[in-house]
Amino acid sequence: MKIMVIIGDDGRIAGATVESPRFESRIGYPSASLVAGEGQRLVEVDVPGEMIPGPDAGSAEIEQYLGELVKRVARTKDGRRK
Amino acid sequence: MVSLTSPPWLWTCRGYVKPSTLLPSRHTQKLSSQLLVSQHRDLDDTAHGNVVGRERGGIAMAYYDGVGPLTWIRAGETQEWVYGWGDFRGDTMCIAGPDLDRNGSAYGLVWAIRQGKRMRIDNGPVRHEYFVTVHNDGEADVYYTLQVVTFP
Repeated sequence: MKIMVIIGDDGRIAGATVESPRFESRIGYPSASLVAGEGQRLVEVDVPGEMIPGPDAGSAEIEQYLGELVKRVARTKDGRRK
Repeated sequence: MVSLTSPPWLWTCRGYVKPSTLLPSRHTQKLSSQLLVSQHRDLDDTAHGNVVGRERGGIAMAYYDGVGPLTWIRAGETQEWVYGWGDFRGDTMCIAGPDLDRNGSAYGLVWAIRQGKRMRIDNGPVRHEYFVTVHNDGEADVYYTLQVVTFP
């Protein structure tokens, strides 16, 4: 599953999109996408769907997910650029 | 409880109108003497509802929830969005904000701190794009999508 990760100007992950069937675009609805803000970068990474924490995930699970995202972002060309 | 999978809602704001004057296919609920909310069941109804609102001298607005991919924002961070329909909407004003509706959305305080509109004439048809900047001022990371209101 391809997701967009937002890297802040300090190099930390500021957030990420989490695709879900529930939120697929619908007819008549506007489409929306993230854009990089000042000092931010958007990096597309591929992650297994089962790796993405659910809405009830605890902080430990989210931190583990973040750690994995950092690794995957670092492997991308855009992620290495500072 | 509003179902996020339901078709868009149309909220028609105007002076008091008796629910019996609306089409029977709509589910209406009078919230106050000044506000009437009408739920429409399909997109054709939404367009029709706009016309009804104008005819009666009021303001009609369409409401969309769950817009964009589910997104996770860290505490203290800011995210910028562009959204639109890819067409020309010279008369349309849009307002967007974070839609917090999940367990993973608790304890965040998320603001829509900037709204914008741009007309583009490059690489495609003349079209309008809308912007919103979301900032998480709370103590926790949260999940959100966007909710959008358009006038008219």
